[in-house]
Amino acid sequence: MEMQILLFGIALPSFVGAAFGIWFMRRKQAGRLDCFVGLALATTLFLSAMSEDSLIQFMALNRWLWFPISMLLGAVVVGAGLLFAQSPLTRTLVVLASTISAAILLNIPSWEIFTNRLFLGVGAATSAIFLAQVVKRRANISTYIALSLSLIGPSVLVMLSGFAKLAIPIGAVSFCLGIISLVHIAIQSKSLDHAVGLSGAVVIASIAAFGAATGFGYDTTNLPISSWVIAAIAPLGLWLGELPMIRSRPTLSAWARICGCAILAATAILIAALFLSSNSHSLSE
Amino acid sequence: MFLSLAPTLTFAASLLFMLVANTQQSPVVAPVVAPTTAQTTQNKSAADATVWKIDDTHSMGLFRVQHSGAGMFWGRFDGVTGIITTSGIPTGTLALDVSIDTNSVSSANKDLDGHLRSPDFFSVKEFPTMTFVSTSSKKLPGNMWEVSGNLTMHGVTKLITTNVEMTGQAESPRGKKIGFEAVFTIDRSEFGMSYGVEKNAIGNSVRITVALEAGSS
Repeated sequence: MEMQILLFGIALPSFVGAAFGIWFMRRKQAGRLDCFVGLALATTLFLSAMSEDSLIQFMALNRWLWFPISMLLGAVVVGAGLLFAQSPLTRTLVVLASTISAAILLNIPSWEIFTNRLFLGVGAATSAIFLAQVVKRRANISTYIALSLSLIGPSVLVMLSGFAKLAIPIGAVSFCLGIISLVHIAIQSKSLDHAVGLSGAVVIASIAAFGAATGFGYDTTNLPISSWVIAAIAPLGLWLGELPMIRSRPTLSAWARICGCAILAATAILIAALFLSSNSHSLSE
Repeated sequence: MFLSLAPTLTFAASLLFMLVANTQQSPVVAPVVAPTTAQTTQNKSAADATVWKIDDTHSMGLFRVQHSGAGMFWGRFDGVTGIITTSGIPTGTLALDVSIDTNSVSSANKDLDGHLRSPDFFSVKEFPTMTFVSTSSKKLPGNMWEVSGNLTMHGVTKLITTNVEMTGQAESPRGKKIGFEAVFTIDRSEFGMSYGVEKNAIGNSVRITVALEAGSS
């Protein structure tokens, strides 16, 4: 069973997403197809989720599948919008439209109230905009590695809460980003300098935020809310590399970006693990 | 001026209505499978009908499923509530209306309990209860009845038929007591719980035992 999960749940979707992502990044003729990098990542999430659950059933039964569906929709909205949006204001509006349209679809336990989902969408958009600032400046391997590590946080947290079918797709996107960073290293191509772009930043920020929200919504182990919040904002750890005393030093800045995301992801996991461990001890006393 | 604004106002009103309606949106409800058209025997609402309230302390549900194609894994539910209606026991009719709190699932392993409560299995946040409501009963020899009814689990309702055994009756200072037990088998994938089935990690066929004790004041 584990091999099948690794193959169909993680490896295949990740390679498909990475292949599309790299293809979009290499197509520089107008430098515009990078707006669909996010769609490649959302496709990885979707394919992995479909391997865990049947699409045929989801209309009636499995509401958690609205999460990968909403991510796909958000990726399409941001990709298509960025094709035409040129000014900073219109690009911001596109980001908002993407996350809010994704939030509208996310009708899952604990998020049935529409206004709560609206706030979640606005929060994800804010996170995405902040993330995009760094991604635009730091289009290199360390950014991919850092973002890959950041998504391990929500993935492991969801797994600790007992929801394997959600943890695997988020982990697949993390793995996909890892593959892209390896390809960067392998081919040393200067043409891959768009990195994930604004669309990728929106989708990654959304996957972290909505993934954590979905995990929180289904959580029956009552993990601390702080762990879910930290996991949701883990990609913003990139900003550690932008501190004034660090950002002018490329190597230190790269390591700071990686450490920033890793620390946030690890903190979320540690809080959850300590909580679960203390609960086990109190039950056995 | 007002006439030129009318379409805009109408559109805005429609948008506002949709937003308000969205706040009233209820969770997705699974489609209900209607029972078969087989002739049903209506329970008599005669004067001799007795209504028994299920004692959740002394009632439970057990399930057994094969793990990794090898051993059998057992789990239990404790939050069993509901009503049993009998008429003319031990020869008359039997009606069951049983509800089980899915959050009460227990495997004696805390980590596994969390997994069982997740959407991988019972998804207790979406489906906090599973129910059985009988539609007909037929007296069999001895203390047995053949009971048909709608089993609703994980948002799916299916008609099942099972033999129910009356395990005993007693008089106590707190009133009369009666006990029933049923054992039946389902395919969990038919109820949308297919995690591990394709990979043969966890069996599809689940044997369920329900033991009920009920009291009548």
